Amino acid sequence: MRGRPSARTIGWIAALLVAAGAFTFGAVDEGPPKTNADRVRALAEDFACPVCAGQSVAESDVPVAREIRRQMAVWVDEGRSDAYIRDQLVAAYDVDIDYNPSGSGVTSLVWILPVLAAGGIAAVVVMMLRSGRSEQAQPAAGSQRRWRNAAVWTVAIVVVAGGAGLLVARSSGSRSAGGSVSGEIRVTSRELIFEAQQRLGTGDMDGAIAAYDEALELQPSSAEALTYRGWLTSRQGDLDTAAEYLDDAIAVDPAYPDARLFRAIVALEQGDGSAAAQELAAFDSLDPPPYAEELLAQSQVRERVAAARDADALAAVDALAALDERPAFSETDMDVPEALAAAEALAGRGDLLEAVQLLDWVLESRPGDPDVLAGRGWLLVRSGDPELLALGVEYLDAVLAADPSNPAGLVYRAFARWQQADIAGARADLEAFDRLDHRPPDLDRLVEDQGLRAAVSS
Amino acid sequence: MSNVVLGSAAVAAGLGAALLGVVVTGLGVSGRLRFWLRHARGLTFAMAAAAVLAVIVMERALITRDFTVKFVADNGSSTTPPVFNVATLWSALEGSILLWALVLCGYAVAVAVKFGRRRPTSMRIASIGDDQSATGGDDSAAHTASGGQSAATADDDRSATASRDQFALAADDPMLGWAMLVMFAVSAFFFALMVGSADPFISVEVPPGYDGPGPNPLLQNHILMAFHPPILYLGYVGFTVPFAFAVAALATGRLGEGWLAATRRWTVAAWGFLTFGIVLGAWWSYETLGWGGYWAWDPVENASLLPWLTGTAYLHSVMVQERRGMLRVWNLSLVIATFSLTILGTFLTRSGVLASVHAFTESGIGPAILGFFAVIVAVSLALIAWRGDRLRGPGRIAAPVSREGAFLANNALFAAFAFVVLLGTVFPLLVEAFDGRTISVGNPYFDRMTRPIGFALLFLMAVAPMLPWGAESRRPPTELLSRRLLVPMWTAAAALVVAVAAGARGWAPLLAFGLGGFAGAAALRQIFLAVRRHRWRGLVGRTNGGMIVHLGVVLVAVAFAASQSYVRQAEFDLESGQQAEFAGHEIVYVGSAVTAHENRTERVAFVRVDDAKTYGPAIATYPFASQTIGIPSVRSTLRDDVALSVLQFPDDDAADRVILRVTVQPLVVWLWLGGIVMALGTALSLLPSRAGRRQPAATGAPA
Amino acid sequence: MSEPDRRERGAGMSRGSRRRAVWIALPVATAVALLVLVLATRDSAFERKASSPILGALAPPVAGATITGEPFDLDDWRGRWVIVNFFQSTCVPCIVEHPELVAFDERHNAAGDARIVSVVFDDTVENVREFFAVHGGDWPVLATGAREAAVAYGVTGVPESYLVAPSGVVVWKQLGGVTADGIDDVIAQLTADP
Repeated sequence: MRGRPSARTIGWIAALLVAAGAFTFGAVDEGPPKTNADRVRALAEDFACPVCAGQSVAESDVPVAREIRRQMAVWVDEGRSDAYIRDQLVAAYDVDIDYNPSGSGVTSLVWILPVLAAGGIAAVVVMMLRSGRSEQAQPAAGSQRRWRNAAVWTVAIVVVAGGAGLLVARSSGSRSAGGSVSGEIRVTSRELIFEAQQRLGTGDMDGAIAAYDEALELQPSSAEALTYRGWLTSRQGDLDTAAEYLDDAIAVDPAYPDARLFRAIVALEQGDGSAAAQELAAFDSLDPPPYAEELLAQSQVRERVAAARDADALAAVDALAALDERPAFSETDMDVPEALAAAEALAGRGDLLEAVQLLDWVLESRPGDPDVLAGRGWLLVRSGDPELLALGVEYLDAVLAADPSNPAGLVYRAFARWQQADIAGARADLEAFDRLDHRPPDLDRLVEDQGLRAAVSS
Repeated sequence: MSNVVLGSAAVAAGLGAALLGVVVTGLGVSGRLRFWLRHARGLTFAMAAAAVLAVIVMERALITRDFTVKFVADNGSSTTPPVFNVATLWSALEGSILLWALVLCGYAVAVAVKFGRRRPTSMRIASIGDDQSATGGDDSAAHTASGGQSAATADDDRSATASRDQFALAADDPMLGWAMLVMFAVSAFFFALMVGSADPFISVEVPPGYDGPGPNPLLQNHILMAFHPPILYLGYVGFTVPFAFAVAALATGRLGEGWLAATRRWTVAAWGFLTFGIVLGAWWSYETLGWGGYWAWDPVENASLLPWLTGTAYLHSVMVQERRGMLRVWNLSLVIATFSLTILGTFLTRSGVLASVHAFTESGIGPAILGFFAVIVAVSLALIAWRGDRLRGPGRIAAPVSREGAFLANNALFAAFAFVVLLGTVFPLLVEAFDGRTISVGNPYFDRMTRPIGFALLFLMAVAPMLPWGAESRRPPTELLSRRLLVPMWTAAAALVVAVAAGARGWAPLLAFGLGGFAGAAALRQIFLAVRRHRWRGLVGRTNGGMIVHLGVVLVAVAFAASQSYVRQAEFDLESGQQAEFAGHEIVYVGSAVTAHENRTERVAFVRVDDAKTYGPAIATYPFASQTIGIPSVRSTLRDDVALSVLQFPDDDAADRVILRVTVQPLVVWLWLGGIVMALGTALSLLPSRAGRRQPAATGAPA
Repeated sequence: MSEPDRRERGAGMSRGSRRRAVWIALPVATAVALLVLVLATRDSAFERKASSPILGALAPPVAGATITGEPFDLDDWRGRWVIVNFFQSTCVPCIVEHPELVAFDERHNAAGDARIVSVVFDDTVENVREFFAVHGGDWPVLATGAREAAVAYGVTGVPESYLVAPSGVVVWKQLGGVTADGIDDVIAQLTADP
């Protein structure tokens, strides 16, 4: 040994340091968290497809495996732990769906025996190496002593290896809530969305966007994250990108009211009234929570959509030629709802006559169309003129004679009778309307907004 | 003559020849009629001719679609493509037994020809390893003299080759007689299966115009299916040869190193075939199953891995016996275990006792194979117990940190590995027998239990080739190791730095990369030194070829760790023209088209990956099998694979939508390249090394 | 016997060796014998079928919206026999089974003692609507929440039916198609001998 370390020693130390450094960095730094899809795949590999021969849920393409994969995805999106998912599957399909044998009971042997065997094999190897050296040194120990030694060693190995095996079984034979085969759950997409909402609450828009982006990284199909990411984008002025996010959100979950509402607002801002109206109608057909209604009222979407629709409808009517030169309704590209909206708009700006004429023109092509008749009646009912009111009731009677459960006819006639002070008649119509299976939400709103229900029940 | 009659006759003739062989060799080895042993060779020819005829008849029946043969009626079809028509032979039970018998007869002929050509003169059987201290001393002296540069490569080959050259058996040698007896007995068993419950030539009446269903669609959509089973069988069946000689050694009591040397190349060749067969099987399932997996710890996959593990252990421990004369029982046990495990694997695959994708449908041959397995194990154990007095080898291990010490550790690890795999595979059956519950043991268990063993093996692979054979009173060769392992250590460090820089995270894959670099550099160092010394001859021979195999193993290990740890998978619902970004790749769904083939219709989704080539994953419908299977398409690069598979075309009509599963896995190609390197290394190790050629046989004995 | 070469026979012949070899061989032989015994007594994996763990357990929730948009909750039917039927509109055995369900429904509809709820398995709502329009049947068909229900019941394929007793416990399971008489027999049996 020289005093100074040789070049090779330094080389070894340096190599070991570099290796240990790189290894430690790579082992400690966690890298990006596993996405939900990656977790689903890892989980799917650990469960047996219940009807396939020796294939995992990940491998198999039979419908059951597909459904279990999809359900796993739902659970993972919900932020469930591996242990929860395992318990659900075992409760439904029995333990043999779990490829990870339990670490308790008889099955724990599958974990313990290899460790015991490894202990035994190691002991034999050590014995062989020792005998190689000791045979010459001490030719023959007493046979009794040899037996005792062997027994002591055997017991020691069984105890140590058995204990180690038990530990392996305990740690590996279960899916604890924290540790997970599908990758440690450091953060779930749900938590990120929650964090984003909190940031939004404190006005930290960039922070919220970052959190939503992270959530989308984990779960690209999160309707909530897509919706709010899109909404925040639209608040920053990028309407087209916002519309893409919102369209994705609607594709994922068509029944998510927030996405519909934001999409309507974005469409309005893009100047696309009809798209906004469509989204609003979709929103209305859902069961929106109170905060969404509030937001709706606040942003006056309904009014703006109505205004846009009126503007569109009026533009459509204005585009038509004068009454006597007009082609038949059926030859134009206008449809009945558009015509009704246009008539409403005309009446709204005071051109009642023009509105009625428009509907008459429609009726020439579509004689007896209940919607048009009801609309025409409704125009007359709202004129305030008692004569026209009576005429309007006639139209509505005709509609209801043809179809006693026409919702528009019932509601409009209830209003007419109310104006005629026929409260009982109005109540009867309203009750008939309430009995309908399918009530258009706009009519419902009309009834509420105008206080009809309160008026007839008094 | 009809195929049924001709085939049945061939099988019967084969059985007859095998049984006659058993009788002749049995009487021959019993002593009085020893000269009868000379007829064994002729009988193997007869047996092989029968097997070849049976296979030809079956292939003729398959190709000409002779549906009067039940096997063809059940598995053949007029619409199966020609290549798979030939491969139909091994796509169902009876045909696979026929193939097994053919391969077995081939080996029997090869053994008879190779060993039986000597005239019955005096036996010249040299033994090595009975003068241990001399050999060891000589060897370590050589190391000191050469400064360890050659790393003992030439020495290893010399001693081994020498003993092989000297081990030539006469045709009437009882050792060969016993070995042939075993080969005949095993052949007789397989022919008997074909006469009994696995009869491939059953006559059947079919209505005119009948067409068969064809083989399972999964077995006829990839060309690898034409190669994987025969190569695997060459491996499985090849282990019959060392087994036969092991039994012969036990029976004759000539338990020295002679039989090892005689069968070493046979074992290496069988091992090489088995290795390549397993890799091809993994490749096939990766290419056809479409979920990005290639190894699923399925019972049948495990059944092929088990003999591989014991066989690999044997290839290493055999060198300890050659050098040190020890581990006799252990080596015999490994050979017997390897052969028994191939039979047990056949039982697991063919009896339907374990559920597996690869298992054939239930059949009646299970009990027969299980019985055969029991007989093999019982006879072998009885022989070992009987010969116990001669089995204690003379050698011992002088130093723990030595080549033989490393081989011992290697064997301990492989034994543990095999135990884990065997236990995990049969454990559900044991639990069920014990308390009636059904449980599953799969992926998570095997991954967790085998991973530490894999790491330890990689470490040993780096260190063991550097270690000298042990000598008396030699201290641990620290100086030697620190010199030889410095470059591998730096390679390991570099591998870790590169991996971390490339974004690899997590301790397990990083450990695999580091150890892979360590072991890979160690193997490369040995190859480099050997080539520098012996030019191209430095690539051949057992030791050098072995190092190339090591290199292949490192490639496989690193690729395995990377592809398992960093796999990304997602499902996309795309309309035609739509694109998706995933894991750094851009995937565009171009559209789909329907193509009609003779035996199936395919709806192909055209998918462009990274603006380059367009790939065509498809869904194929086989009307006859009323089965729909996905045909994945994989874009492979040396860096990563993008595997595409169609899960569904949700709208059958207008809107061209596809639900596409995209799996991105790094380094997958290196698995197959590693397999090819392993096969290549095996082939090179079978070539005679330079040292072996130069050394006259007579001086092969220790100097 | 042949005369084995001296050197080949090996050198170390100790008296204890044979005994030791026997001692090693015996446990190995026992282990292998046990393994063979276990393997020989196993049924084929194709025949083994685990019983469902949910038999005898409280019925997992079947809740969500039907194909007509009505809300549905199995718990609202507590006190009646309920057949929970998992099906797919394109599966042939489901089509074969359907008239039996219709017959069963007709038998019990008036009395209201037994009801059927169908649960869509891996199918689209449009397909299912059409299926019921063509094949008849007028009972709730769960569309949303169907996958949760299928995975909670451990459905392995279609059709598959579960009988929920009035107590809310799953008492019977049928893989494959049911018949009206078959269900009635089971109910009668369970009523007579609970």
